[in-house]
Amino acid sequence: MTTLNEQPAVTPTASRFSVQGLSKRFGNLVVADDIHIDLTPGARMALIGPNGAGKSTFVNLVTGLLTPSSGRIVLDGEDITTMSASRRVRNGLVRSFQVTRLFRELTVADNIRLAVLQERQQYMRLFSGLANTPGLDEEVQRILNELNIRDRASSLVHNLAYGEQRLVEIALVLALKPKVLLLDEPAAGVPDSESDLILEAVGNLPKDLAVLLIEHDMDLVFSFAEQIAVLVNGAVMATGTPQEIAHNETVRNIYLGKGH
Amino acid sequence: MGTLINILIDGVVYGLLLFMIAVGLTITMGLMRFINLAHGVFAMLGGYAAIWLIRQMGLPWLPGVIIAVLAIAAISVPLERWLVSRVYQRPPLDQVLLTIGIVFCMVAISGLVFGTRVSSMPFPEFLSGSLDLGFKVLPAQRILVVSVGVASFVGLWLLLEKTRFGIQLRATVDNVQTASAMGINTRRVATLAFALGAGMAALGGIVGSALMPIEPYYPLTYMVLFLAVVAVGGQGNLTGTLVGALLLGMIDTATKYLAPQLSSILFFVAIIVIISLRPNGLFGRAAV
Amino acid sequence: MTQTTVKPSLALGTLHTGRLPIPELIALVVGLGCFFAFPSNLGFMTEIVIMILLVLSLDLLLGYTGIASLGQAAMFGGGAYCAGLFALHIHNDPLLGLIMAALFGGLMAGVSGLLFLRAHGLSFIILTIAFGSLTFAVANQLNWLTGGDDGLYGYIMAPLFGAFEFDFFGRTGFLYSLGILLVVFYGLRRLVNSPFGLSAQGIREDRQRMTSLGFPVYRVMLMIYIIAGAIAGIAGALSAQTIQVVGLQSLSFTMSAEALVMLILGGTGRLYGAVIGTVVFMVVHHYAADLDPSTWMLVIGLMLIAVVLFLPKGMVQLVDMTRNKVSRLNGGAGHDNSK
Ligand SMILES: Nc1ncnc2c1ncn2[C@@H]1O[C@H](COP(=O)(O)OP(=O)(O)O)[C@@H](O)[C@H]1O
Ligand SMILES: [Mg+2]
Repeated sequence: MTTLNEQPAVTPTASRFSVQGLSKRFGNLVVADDIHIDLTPGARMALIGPNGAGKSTFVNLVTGLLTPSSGRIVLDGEDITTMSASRRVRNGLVRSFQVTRLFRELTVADNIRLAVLQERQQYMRLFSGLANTPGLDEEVQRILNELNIRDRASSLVHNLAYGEQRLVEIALVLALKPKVLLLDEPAAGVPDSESDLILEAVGNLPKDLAVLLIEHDMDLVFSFAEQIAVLVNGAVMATGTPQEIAHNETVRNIYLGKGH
Repeated sequence: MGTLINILIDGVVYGLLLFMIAVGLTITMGLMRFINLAHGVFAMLGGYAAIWLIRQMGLPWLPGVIIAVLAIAAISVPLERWLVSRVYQRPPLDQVLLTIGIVFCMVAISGLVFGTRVSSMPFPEFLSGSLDLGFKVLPAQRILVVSVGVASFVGLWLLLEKTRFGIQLRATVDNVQTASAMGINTRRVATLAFALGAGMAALGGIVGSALMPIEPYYPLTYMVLFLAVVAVGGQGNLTGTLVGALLLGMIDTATKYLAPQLSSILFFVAIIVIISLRPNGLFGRAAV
Repeated sequence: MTQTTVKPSLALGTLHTGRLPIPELIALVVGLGCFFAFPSNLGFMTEIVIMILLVLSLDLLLGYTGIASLGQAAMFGGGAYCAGLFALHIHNDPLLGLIMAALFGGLMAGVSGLLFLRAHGLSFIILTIAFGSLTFAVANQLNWLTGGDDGLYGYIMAPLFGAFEFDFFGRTGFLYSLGILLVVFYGLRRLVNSPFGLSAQGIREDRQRMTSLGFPVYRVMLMIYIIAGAIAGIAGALSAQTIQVVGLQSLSFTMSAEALVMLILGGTGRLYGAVIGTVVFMVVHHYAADLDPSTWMLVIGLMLIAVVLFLPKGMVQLVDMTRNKVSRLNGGAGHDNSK
């Protein structure tokens, strides 16, 4: 109890993002079963599990696209369980989509511009041209360069190869300058030749950003994660360091067994 | 008390009529997510066909009605195959525009062919009388609406629950992809359901012609009403549609009894309030 | 793409145009040309200008934001009655009336949008139709105020700027309407090319993705709905002030549907599409004036079906097709900008 007085800052910094007892049922199907997950600032956690385990559903639940049946979601000490989906994003909780979701009829630059406009709160400028929006083009430039897609800036998104679209998807989430980032299979559907770019982008994420990565590629998971959670049938079956998970018998049987 | 009973009875009559006409709409919307603003056209055409067959061709009443209903169902098949199905995969707006186009065409053609005034439906002797319930005198035509309406609901329920076609239909409503993966010919199901809905609407248009007179602007006049039944009852939901239809029928009747001057205003306010509070229907799941 | 120093936003691949009022100047020249060329058709041309404004408001909703409304006539008629009543009972200055109508149209849109914009698809469409029917029923009911079936009349507009009488030939009316159109068009062009306009297009492309980018989508849509309502109100006011009668049909479903037809005919999502569609529709209507109303309705219906089936992007699609053909003939690569 005395620690409360001496170190008031402990609680907020210890956990940037925590999910407590999150559950969700679709009729009889339990897709999230009492999930607990905790991310500290700078955390690198991977969420793995077979197809249909409920990983994407978990992301939908915590970002507010689905309403949980029970449980609590806390971001920076604030309970966000009932907060609107868009305010969660403005508060720093950002996700990417497993299946690319972009503005297909807009250019790559305009896609990124949208994210930047939101992050800089400049979208309510009604009559000033985009080119006259202070700092906008510089920021878009920076992101285009960072992901090496500058030469695609003026292409319409639907004319891009899928791998390039995945990079734009990542560009959007980076442009939002998140505090907590949930990446749902960022390399899914990307040909091996192009996946390096995405791995590189994931590897270069800001150090203080808390990241939860959903991924099937075990090499990537083990090189990236400091912590791994295994989700099976909506329930977290095991959590631990990569070593612990790699040596966990049950996990090996149920999940890793297939690939190794 | 007397007014209340009147509202209740007339509301049920009106509600059952709305159910008959709108049920086809709810099925096609549930099946193909197809927004059809032209559904009222079938009710109107049913009315015109029956009037023509009975008055002009001199058919007896019952055969005239049956042939009219079958004819409208038959006409709807090429319409679905060649026109409507082409926009199933298109954005809702295209469906809206196409079906408004159909409405405008049919309103215009009906006006040119049948004249712009109300065409009165002939009814046989035994349906022109009325039944004295003691507390209320009920015209026989309303009893007809109630009996046909109840029979329609029961018939449709049995069709959906007990027949092979019903199972296929429900599976397709549930999920088109899964259904067609299971080997169901979803195109055929959609066409048959469309024809079924058109026939039901025609039947409703005929038996309800005393409440909703047959005239060229029929599809436009009642467009909001039919669509609202579906929006309130939930797309693809048989019982929901019945409840929605009864509710709206009751509200409309109540406003006509209690504030005849303001009835249409109050009715639109009620529709707006209900749908904006429950945009996914009374029983709808939340939008995902 | 080369790294030469083009305008920064072009280098970054935006397809938006600059801020010079060139389209407005062209429209002004064309408008004045028509003014001198067809002096006996000024009433009809004024009607076209007014409809263009209404269709532009719909384009902002549908073409740029993806909000499919079938009740835009509510705001148009609302603005018309507001301007008429304002002139009759309070003050007959046209610009003052125009401002009142814009505010009233915006207010109607604000109140209805607050309720409606949470609904999607079918529900939203029904709500907008029902709102149109409601305003029609209300105007009909309040016939002591609106004149009901007979229409609202008996007001005489004061001279524009205190100097220009609304003359019998409709010269002032046309130039006044044209001027307002140009101002609104310029404002809209700035709007759709602004950060706010880009956000609208994001909403059109994928509402849920915008939410996941942190946009308060509902609030942005509400603002656009209000702006579109104000523009429709302005169009209604111009109609009330130049014709000096307001009828119930200004609130009718047919009005909303016709405006939608004009927009679809021209092509959504481009302001000039709204202009082209309206002009073509109105001119066809004008020359089909001999047809009885039923036949005309048949024409509209067939036009709708044909556009949906064969020309889903409207007449601007024809422009694009010819442009691509020309550029191919010139040996240039077909450009991929479908915007
Ligand atoms: N809206 C929904 N309604 C019913 N079941 C759903 C819904 N969304 C997802 N599911 C089910 O939840 C389970 C988990 O899906 P998902 O989260 O996509 O798994 P993962 O991302 O781990 O592959 C699946 O069985 C899926 O069918
Ligand atoms: Mg998934």
